[in-house]
Amino acid sequence: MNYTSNLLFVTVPKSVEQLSKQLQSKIVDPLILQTLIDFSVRYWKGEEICHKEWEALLKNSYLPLTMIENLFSGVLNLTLAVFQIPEKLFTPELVLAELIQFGLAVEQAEQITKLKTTSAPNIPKLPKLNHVKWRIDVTISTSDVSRILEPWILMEINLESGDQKTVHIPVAQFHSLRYQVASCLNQFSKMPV
Amino acid sequence: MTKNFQLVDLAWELGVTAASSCEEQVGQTYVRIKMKLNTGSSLETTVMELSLKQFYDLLHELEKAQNNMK
Repeated sequence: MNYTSNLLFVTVPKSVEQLSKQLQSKIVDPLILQTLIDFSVRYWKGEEICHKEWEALLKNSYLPLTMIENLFSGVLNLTLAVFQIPEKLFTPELVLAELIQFGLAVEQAEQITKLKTTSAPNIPKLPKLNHVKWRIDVTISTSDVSRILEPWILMEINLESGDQKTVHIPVAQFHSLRYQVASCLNQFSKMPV
Repeated sequence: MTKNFQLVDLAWELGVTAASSCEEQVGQTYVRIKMKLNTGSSLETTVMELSLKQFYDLLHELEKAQNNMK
């Protein structure tokens, strides 16, 4: 089955393809799908879905566990794709049309489209660098050696999350760091952005 | 209740800051103390950096404790 997904996916994941097939064959109960959508929103917010809720879902559905799991995987990928659309590219009508194309009912497609503006997913991402402080220390003497006079760099890295990392960099490692940063900057300048 | 860890090893380092992104730190002398502590279940390493004044304050307190032990 061919999908024209422009905003949500570059390549439609297999789980979403399977979800779409199940939806279009009308074997998925709308209430079960609604529960899976609610579960996925809670999942991306970092909320725990307790075992009893899953058991209740399986009890109310005549579908086997593996199919429910596959459906949930598809719904997770779909909702995540909506969250990940960049702000400047997000057009609600186009997203709605794509979701309906995958076999979702209009109400559910509208609910998922609205997630972008109403929910903030707790998707783990790498911490961002906020600020760097450095100093060059010269060790005069230690408990092991009376006279060293060895220079090294102490760097304090402050992250946006509030975490602070202090690292001790020997001179040789610092030159290696400088080289890597220079290589990275070189690649930046070559990028056609 | 505070936990009492046993000091297993202590190492120190004396140095001076030759340059820094914060200008006020340049020329400052520091003493860095690395303590290896026995927590009961594992060995923990704690590092602390003291300015000269803080180091002399610590030395003063240690000498007071030693005098009281005699």
